[in-house]
Formats: sequence, structure tokens, C-alpha cells
Amino acid sequence: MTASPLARPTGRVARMKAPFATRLRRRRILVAYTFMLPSLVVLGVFMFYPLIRAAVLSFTNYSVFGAVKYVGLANYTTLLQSHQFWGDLVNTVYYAGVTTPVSVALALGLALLLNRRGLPGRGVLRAAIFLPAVVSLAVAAIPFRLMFTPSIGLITYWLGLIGVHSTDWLDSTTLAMPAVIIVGIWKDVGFYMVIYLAGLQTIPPEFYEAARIDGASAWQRFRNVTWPLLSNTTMFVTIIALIASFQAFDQIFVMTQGGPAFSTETLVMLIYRTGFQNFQMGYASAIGYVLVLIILLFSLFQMRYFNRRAIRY
Amino acid sequence: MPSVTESVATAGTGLPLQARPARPRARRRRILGTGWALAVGIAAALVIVFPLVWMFTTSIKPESEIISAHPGLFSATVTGSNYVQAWQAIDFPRLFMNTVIFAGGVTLLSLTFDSLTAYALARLDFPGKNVIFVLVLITLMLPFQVNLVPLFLLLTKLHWVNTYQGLILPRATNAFGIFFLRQFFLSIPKELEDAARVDGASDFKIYRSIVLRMSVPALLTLGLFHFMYNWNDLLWPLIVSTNSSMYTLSSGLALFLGQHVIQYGLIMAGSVLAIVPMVIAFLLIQRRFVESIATSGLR
Amino acid sequence: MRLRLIGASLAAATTLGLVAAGCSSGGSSSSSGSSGSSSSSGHVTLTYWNGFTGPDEPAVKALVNKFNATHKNITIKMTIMPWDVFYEKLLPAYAANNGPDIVAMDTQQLPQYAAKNVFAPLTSYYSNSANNTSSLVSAATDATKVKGTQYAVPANFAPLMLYWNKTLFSKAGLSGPPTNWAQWQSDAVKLSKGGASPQYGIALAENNTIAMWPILLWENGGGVTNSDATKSMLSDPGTISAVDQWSKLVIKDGIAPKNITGAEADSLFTAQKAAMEMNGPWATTGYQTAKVDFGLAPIPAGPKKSVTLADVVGMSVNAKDSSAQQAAAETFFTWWNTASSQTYYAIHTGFVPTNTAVTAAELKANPDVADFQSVSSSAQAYELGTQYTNVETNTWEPAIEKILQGSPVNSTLSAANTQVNGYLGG
Repeated sequence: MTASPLARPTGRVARMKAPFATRLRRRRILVAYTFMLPSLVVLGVFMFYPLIRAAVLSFTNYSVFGAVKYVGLANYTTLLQSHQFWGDLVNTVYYAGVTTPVSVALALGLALLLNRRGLPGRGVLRAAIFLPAVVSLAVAAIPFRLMFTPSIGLITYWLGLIGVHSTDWLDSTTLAMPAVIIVGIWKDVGFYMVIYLAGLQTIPPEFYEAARIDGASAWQRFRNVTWPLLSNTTMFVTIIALIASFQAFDQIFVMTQGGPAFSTETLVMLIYRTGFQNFQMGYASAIGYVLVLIILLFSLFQMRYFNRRAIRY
Repeated sequence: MPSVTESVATAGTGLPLQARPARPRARRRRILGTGWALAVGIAAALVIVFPLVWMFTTSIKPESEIISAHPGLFSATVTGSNYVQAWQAIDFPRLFMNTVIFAGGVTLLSLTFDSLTAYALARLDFPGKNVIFVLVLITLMLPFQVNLVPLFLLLTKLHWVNTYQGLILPRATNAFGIFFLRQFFLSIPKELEDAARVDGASDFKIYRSIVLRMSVPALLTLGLFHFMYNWNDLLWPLIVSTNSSMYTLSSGLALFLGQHVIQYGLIMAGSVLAIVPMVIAFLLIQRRFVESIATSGLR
Repeated sequence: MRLRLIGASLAAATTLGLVAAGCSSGGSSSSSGSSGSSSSSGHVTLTYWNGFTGPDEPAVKALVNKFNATHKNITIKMTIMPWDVFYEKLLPAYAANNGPDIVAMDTQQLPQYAAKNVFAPLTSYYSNSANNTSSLVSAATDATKVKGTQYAVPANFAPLMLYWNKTLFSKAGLSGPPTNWAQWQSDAVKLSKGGASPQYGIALAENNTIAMWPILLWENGGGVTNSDATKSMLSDPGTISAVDQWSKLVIKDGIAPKNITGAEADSLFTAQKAAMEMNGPWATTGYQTAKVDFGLAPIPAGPKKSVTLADVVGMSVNAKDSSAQQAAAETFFTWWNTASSQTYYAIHTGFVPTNTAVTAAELKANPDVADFQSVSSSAQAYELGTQYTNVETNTWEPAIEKILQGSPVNSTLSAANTQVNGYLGG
């Protein structure tokens, strides 16, 4: 790699280093912040302002309408002692713990599959697998509900024809969560696959050719060329998948509403319930922040893991 | 078309390689591998696409046959009445226009702002860089429901409720987009940029002429994602609009979900109508993907 | 270079600013606290939010348009949205002083909003004989009261009846619908078949549905709470016995699926996989289109009572509305409940007219409505006061779900009882 020209010492630069470097540094900072200005303004106004407001509200008994009273840490202590909160936290971790690795692995597998040169109908297959990402999840959950209801559902009817008795997954406290997990994976796998495809496209084919000439097998090519060069993409996909799975809401709302008996209720559903059905917005904001903290911890952990293995040019 | 290896190996000399006798075996293995890949690919695609196929076949069934004791994928009667009714019931053209303005506006603004920010985070060095990156990520982590009420109150104060700017501007930049492009920019080789910098090009010029041009597949992908996500967004337009003439397509579809009765045929027909532009967009982008890589100067 | 970069971002920021200051395409807000308006010429505009989506929408729209056409001084701007979105936006809109002038809302949700004083009390409306409120169905006007004060005017009224599938009944050798619990329970068992494609005697839904289980509790002398929602009745012997009987039938004899929503219950009945269902009048059109040969019967008489449940949606007025706006709103309420408007509404949506002056003969175009009208007098609304969500969604429904999954009836109900009393007492 060529070294940065600024690192090459010349007599004149070395003598001018101090004031020149400071001016340069200041200019660099100005340029950087100017680049980021539009985003920072929008994020500041429409994300951070409400975010901070919600944080402040979490220390109050805000209920959207009516007098607001500061209650200190009461919301937080209540939720930490709430049986409902801990149960929902377990559900959330269960959901995220299954959905994230499975979606990411499947997406990578499908991307590798559909990136092969000479695979006929690649475009059509990619479009088909991507299609669930194009539909709104709230609408897509309707056919899932209907197809899997025993007696009238298409899938259960066909299974019945071959003598397989299906139970209504959404009825049972043990099977309802796997059902919403399946729908969650179904929705996002194509989306992550396309991101992986974009990443795969940037790997120069020369590396593969070089590996092939060296006699590397398909697995070795994957492990030594593909996987390392995909590390930035993988980090991105796993973090996005993790964050998305912690925030799963749409299909749970449509399919089970958190039931039966709260077995599929995640923290986001709890926030919705306490905030929009009970109007305890202060309490809901507190739960929201605890959730953010949890996601942040998981994400930072993941980023540290990937940063150690990152390829930087 | 001969592979790179083959043409390189025989170029210039015209003489056959020692490897040549092995080629038929290698080709057979390749065809078998491709066959397997195709089978798995088709199976995966069928399984994944099935609920959507159900949506389509339901949309062309008369409402009376959708729920039945003997459900079938197809029914003897095919009808377009669900489509006609859906079209009329929700003032389709108007909602379509709203959706295009909303999704299109967000996509254009977002691609611009996200790429500018991502470039700064990926290539420029400045104090507070990591802090800003983490802050951006945090906005991704906060559940929408927590932000909703304060955001709605803010929009009301700005008198932006039920307006296009209220719909678009809060989404004009996106942590997902920033994160995505940052990762992408990080993985581009730096040589061209360093060379340009030596030549005295400004950061903005480097950004515009080099980095953006090398990132076309990523920008297309991200543009598609933004467009698609906002095209399908049900809740946000419903929250911001107080007038059904400002609704978008997906939000309009929610009106077929009655309190007691779900009009399955209508909602499926409406959904199909809403998906079709997205599928077309995706198929178009697909091809541009390949073209842009083939013509990018680096290979 | 540097200047161009700064110039570019300044341009972006200016655009943002210009757009911010600039055009809007219909935004509305006023400092008066309502989003409607009234001009000096006497013309009043009222914004009206409701959740009348689905098949009810055309009829509601037609009526509002007719009102606007016949009342030159009043314009009603109606926005229909799905009910969940409606409930999400309503309070924030009122909190931002930008709420609608009129809303239509399920009377079960009314107490919470009345407690926050967002709606104007309608005592004077009801005492004014010109408004003809005495001709309204009494179960409906009872449901619109919160702690004795009127906060809403009925918009629609829907009692539940027993839908029964004539084809499935005759196949099982049963001649007619059950008229008491003994027949009801034995019929349900006879009509249930297990197997790969089960058939159910009754499609009993317990979440996201019009309330069905409470009817069973009431008919046995029990209930979820007492009539003014101050005390839980979940540990009453009547309640326990009802839950015990029916849950055993579900679990052991499979007379109903275990945890289904109202929509699924409807689907089962449409597909003729359930022989009975307690449902409201909105379902008749769908079942007819699906060619289900169904009959309508009153809910079979219980051991202690013969009662059915009524679902009432009421219209309320923004407390911050000016007197001109409130007067206009009241004109609309009265017009909505006239015999002619209600006849149109009933025929096109299947709901029972709120106006008792409408005779069965006038409802000939939709004969099922007359059936529903005949049970109006035995209908009572399912009211849980301001703690509706806590009692219904957070306690009662999970309790039934657990019981149907096998939890013991006594202990589950007793725990729920304590929880409900906790909500009601506090």
C-alpha cells in the first residue's frame, strides 16, 4: 500500500509541521462535520430530541394527558421487580437468540448459492427469495395465520390429506413462539441475502482464480477468501439482524398479540401495551431505555468481536 | 465463454495446457455442483414464495371461496372483482402518488445524506468519530414505539402533521443507511483515493468522483431498501396523516381490516397491487447490479 | 473545494429550512384546542375520527356525505383509520391541542377518556326532549354513561345471537337450536369431531373478539366484575362453575378450539367447521356470501339468567369545542339517530337501529336485522370502567388462556381475582 503523502517527511514540512499540522487538522475537522451536517441535523431534531424527551419522561408518570409528576427512579425499580418484565425479557432473548443466527446463516448460504456463475435463473430465484422483504409484514402475517389454522388452513388441510394431524401452533404456549420466529426469519432472510450479495460482488474474482490455481477446494476458498473479505458485511448483517430481532413487533402483533398467556410477548409489545393501551408513557419509556441498553451491550460486544477480525485496506 | 484462467493459460502460446485432459472431469463436477445448487435454490425459493403465491391466488378468488372447509390454492372461478373494488375503495391513484412521493423523497434525500455521513465516518479522521458512530447506532436501537409520542408532539408543534415534509423529513437520513454505506466504504481499496489526494483533490471531489462511482451497487441496494421500507410502511403515514387523502398505499390497505370482519380478498388484491411496482424495481436493479460491476474501472 | 463543500451543505440546510417554513397540504391546528373551525358566517367544520373500516365504511361514508349535503351550515370532515391506530393517536392529539371534534369509540374505552376530561358531558343533550333520546335503545344509552353521567351518544348497537349451522345440525340428527344450557352443551358435544380436520360444536373465541365468555359467566350468575366495575367476581361460585363446565368441555370433548381470535372463530363458522357461534349482526353478509345455511337464535337460557351481550359504539364531543361546534355536533348526533338514517344504516351494515321506532317491516331488505332487534331488550353491555385494559387484556384473557391450556380453574381464577381487585381498588 502506498503510504499517505503526509507521512513522507520533507525538510520543509518537518520545519512547518506545528502550525501547518494544526491548520490542516482544523480544516479536516471542519470538512468532516460539514459532510455530516445534514444527517446530524435531521437525526438531532427528529431522533435525538424525541429520544431525550422520552428519557426525561421515563422519570415521570407521564400519561400523555394530564398532570405530569416527577417520580425519580420509580419506573425503573418497578420494572426491575416486575414479573411481566422479566418474562418478556426471556421471550425477547429467546426470539433474538434463534432468529439472528438462523437468518444470517441462511442468508449467507443462499447468497453463496445464488452467486455462482452459470446458475440458470439466478435473477428469478433471487427475486423470489427477496420477495417477502417487499411485502408489509402486517399484511403477510394474515396468510400465515390463515394457512396454519387447523380445519380451514391450506397447509393443515394438505397435511390432513396425508393423515398428519396438525395442532394450531398459535394456540399453544409452547409452539406460538416458534411460529412467530419462523415468520420473522421468512421475512428477513431475503433482505440479508441481498446485502451479502452486494458484499460478494465486491470480492475481486482474481482472488478466487488465484486460489483455484493454487488448488484450493471450495471449502478452503470460502474459508480463506470469501469469509475474511466478507467480514465487514457480516458484522453489518449480524448487528442489523440482532437489532431488528430485538425489536420484533409486526408479526407478533398480528398473529398472537403477545399471547397465548403472554408466551410470545416481547419487550417491545410490553412497551406498546403499557404505553398505548394503558397510557403509562413514562413507564413505557423506561422499559424502552432498558431495552436500548440491552441491545447496545449486545451490539458493542458483537462489534468488538468483528473489529478484531476486520479487514482494513 | 472461456474462464479467465483458461484464456490466461493459453494466451500467447496457443499451446494446450497440461491441465487440458482433466477439463471434462472438472466440467462434469461443475455441472453437478450447479445442478445441486439449482435444486436447493428452487426448493428454497418455492418454500419462501408460497405464502405470497397464496396471497395472489386468494386475490383472484371470489370472497365466498376464500374461507372454506376444502381450501385449495386455486378455485374454479377466477375473478378480478377484488382488484376493481380495492382500486375504487381506497382512491388508488391518489394513494399511489402519495406513496411515490413519500418513498421516492425519502430515498433520494437519504441516499445523499447517508452517503455524505458514511464517507466522513469511514474515510475522514476527526475527534468524536467513534462517539458519533455509536450515537448513530443508538438511534437504530431505540424501539419506534418509544419515540412515537414525543415525535408526534414535535410534529404538531411544527404544524407538520398531515404534510409531506412531516412525512419525509424525519426519515431523510437513516442510521441503517449510514451504517451500511460506512461498512461498504471501508471495504473499498484506498489506492484511488490516496492517489487523488496526492493530486490535490478535495475530499468532496474524491467523494463525488471516486467513492460514489465505485459504490454504485451498494447505493442501488440501499436505495432499493429505503424505497421498499418506506413503500411498505404502514404505521408512520397513518400517524402523521389526519386525512385519508394523505395516506400511502400500505396504510390505505389497513382500512380493509374491519373491526369485526376482515375482507381477505380485498386486502390481498390491494397488497398485490402494492407489491408489483416493488418487484419491478427489484428486477430492474438486479440487472444494473451486474452491468455496473462489469463496467466499473477497477476490474 | 472547501467553499463548494460548505456551499453544498448550506444549500441542503436552506432547503430544509425553506421546506420547513413553506407549503403544507392540509395541516391544521388551532389554538382553540380543536382541529375544526367555525367562521363568523355561522358555518361550522367538524373533524370526525373513527375506526369504521371494513365493510361498514361505505355506509358510514354515505351517511356523512348525506348529512353534509343536507346541512349547508355544517361540514363534517371524517377520517377513518384502523382502530389500533385510532387509539394510538387520540390522546397525543388531544394533548397537543389538535384533537378531533367528534370521535366514535367503543363504550368500553370511554371511561378512560372520560376520566381524562377530553370529552364534554352530554347531560344537557339528553335532557333536551327535542333530541328524542328516549327513542334510543336503553342498553345503548346505559353503555354510554360513565359513573352516571352521559359522555356519548350511541352510534351503533349490536347484540349477540347464536348463529347455528342448519346443515351440520341436521347431519348430527338435531332438529333445532338449543334453548337451554343442558341442550347447548350436549349439542356441542354431538357436533364435535376430532381428527386431522376437526369440526367444532361451537367457535368460542377469547381474545381480539367481541366478548363471548362473559355471556357464559353472566348466565350462570357470575361475571368478570360487578355491574359498576368496583369489585371482581372472578371467585364467585357462579363464575367458577361456568368456567369449569365450559373449559372441561373444550379440553376433554373438544367442543371448541383453545385460543382463537374473533376473526378465526368467524372463519371456522364460514368454512362450516364450527356448528355454532355467538356473534353480532355484522357477520350475516359474509356467511350468506359463503352460502352457509345458518339460523339465528337467542343465546340459550342459562341456569340463572337469559342474557346476551351488546356491543355499543358511541359518539363523543371534544371538551374544548366552542359552543357553536358543540351545537353542530349535537345536530349531527340527532340526525344520525333519526329513524330514516338508522334504517339505512341497519339495512346496509346489519347493525340493529339505535332508534327503537324503526319497525321490523321497515327492515325487510335485511331480515336478519329484525332477528337481532328482537333480542335487544335482554342485552347488556360489557363494561369494565377505566380499568378495561388491565382487567380484560392483562388479567381475564390470560387467565382463560391458561385454564384452557390445563391450569386448574380454582387457583387460576383466584389469582386473577386478586389481580383484578388490585386494579379496581386502586
